[in-house]
Amino acid sequence: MLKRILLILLLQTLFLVALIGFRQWTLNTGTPIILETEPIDPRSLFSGDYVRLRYKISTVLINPAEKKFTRGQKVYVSIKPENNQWAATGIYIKKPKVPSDQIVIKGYIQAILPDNRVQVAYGIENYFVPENEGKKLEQPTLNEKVSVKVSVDRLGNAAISGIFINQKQIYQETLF
Amino acid sequence: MSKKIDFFKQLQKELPSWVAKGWIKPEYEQSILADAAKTTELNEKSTTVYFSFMGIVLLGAGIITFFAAHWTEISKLSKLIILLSSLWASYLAAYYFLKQNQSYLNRLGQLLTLLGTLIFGVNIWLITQIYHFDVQDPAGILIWSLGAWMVAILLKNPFCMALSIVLALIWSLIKSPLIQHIHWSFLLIWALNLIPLLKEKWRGLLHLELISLIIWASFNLFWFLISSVHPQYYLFYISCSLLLAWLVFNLTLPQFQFMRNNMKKTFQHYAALFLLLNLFYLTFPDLLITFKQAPHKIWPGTLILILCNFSVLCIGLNSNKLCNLSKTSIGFYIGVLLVLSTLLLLNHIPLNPSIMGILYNLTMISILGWFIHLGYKTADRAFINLSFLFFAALILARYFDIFWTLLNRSLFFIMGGLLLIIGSYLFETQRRRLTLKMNTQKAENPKC
Repeated sequence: MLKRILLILLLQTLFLVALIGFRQWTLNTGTPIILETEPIDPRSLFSGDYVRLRYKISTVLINPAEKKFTRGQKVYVSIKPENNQWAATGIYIKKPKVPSDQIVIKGYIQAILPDNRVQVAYGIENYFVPENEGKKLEQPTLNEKVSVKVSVDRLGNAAISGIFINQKQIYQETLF
Repeated sequence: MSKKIDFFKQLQKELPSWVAKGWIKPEYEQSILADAAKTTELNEKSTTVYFSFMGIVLLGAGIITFFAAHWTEISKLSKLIILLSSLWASYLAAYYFLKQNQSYLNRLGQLLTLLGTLIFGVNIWLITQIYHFDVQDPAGILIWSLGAWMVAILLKNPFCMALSIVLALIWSLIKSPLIQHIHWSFLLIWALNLIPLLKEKWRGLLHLELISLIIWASFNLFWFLISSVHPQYYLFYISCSLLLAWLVFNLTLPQFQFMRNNMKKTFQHYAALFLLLNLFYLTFPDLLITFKQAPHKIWPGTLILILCNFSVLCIGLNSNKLCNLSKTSIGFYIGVLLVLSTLLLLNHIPLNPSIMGILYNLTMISILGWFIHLGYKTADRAFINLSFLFFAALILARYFDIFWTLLNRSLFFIMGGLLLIIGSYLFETQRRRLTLKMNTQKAENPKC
């Protein structure tokens, strides 16, 4: 009986630790990129605000001649820096090999838009902030620009490592 | 609990008169009282345990509320320590009570195990929040379900099994609209949950498991109807669901001894429910008009299922061993399957939907009549109740279909109300008469 309980505890604890470890691995080993945002803020059911973020790379142009994409499908988007911003250069079903000036980020098709475009979610569309601090990011003033520092690991997973307003860091992700 | 105490007191009062009348020997009086006292004491202790558990839950809720109010002030490391230590504390407390000899303490241990599993789920949720994981993906619910499944298997805990079943269903219902397709992966998890249910013979949980499957199937079918994403497959999915339900029904014939009879009965009842539900959809002419015919290229799927049904029926229908069903019944059984199979194959051909609708309605009425006969013959009230329920639903649905546009609105509601009042009285009277007659007569073969 004790062995079984310890096995359950071990497996469940290992899973939770692995969850944290995997996220930290992405943050520590990933390539850092800065993405500008278009935030929209709903409230979370739990304590704290969560900011809903959208990026320029959230909408990707597709080639109508290529294979049709479907909602919920896993895709890989190649991005490269253009005019101090990262822009999507292509969208693929399998992880492609890209030149050294580009990186590949994994996402899921959220919606098929008109004019040969798709909306892609990369897992970096939510950020939890302390209560009542979401508005700063939700409603920046006209001369405020919110940008997000994201780490993209070699598997294409992305994680938010920091939030900036006018290039001044407001939040920084750490292990503890 | 007070009923048990009242019973003990009543027993104390009655026993001396029973001894005086010579119904029981005097030496048995004390043994009976001692045994009843033990049960009463155990139940009193159970009451204490359950109230203590409620107290623990309230205490836990208070602690959680306190931490929730100060959550943003606590450091990440402290949050992780709180989360992991609460997980360990609940499971280790569960272990302490599970190794006790008294059954009521074991029950408390089982409840604490459930608490540990709930805390595991809460931990997943809070860690995803702390480390900003994507909350739209319901993968966390799947992991929680699998965690509960593991606990149910290792500790033979039915509460965790119930949690696993419910979580698996929630996971699938959230996932299906996200992927815009039927979420077939649910069936894998459903099968995984079925294994320990059958092994541990948790019959109550079997009901929950089968209900979850019916909810999943109905949700997917209705979601297809509402979203119109793949309209050409709608009829095909209903046909397959119907035939699969019939297949399960066939497998519950007495010849197939792969599980206990009472578990088989549960499968049989739910298979009948699912069969009638899917057939009911097909009785709506408007539905058949909207979705026209199923695509030609996938008719082999329907044919394969029909052949499976006939194969199982041939293997199972051995008139020497079949009990309680007359040759007329067996003939009707085969006839219904033939008619139904033909109609489902005809889904793939562009026939007049109104004619198809009439044929489905007639088939459904025949099947309902046969289920009533089957229920009566095998002394199974569930078939009779189910048949009457669907018969009432069928009449109501046809009343709406036919008279909604033909009658003046007020007249429609007046007639509808009268139909419901008179109909429900007649149905209920007939149903009670039938079940009473069934209960008072002996079954022809009690082993069935």
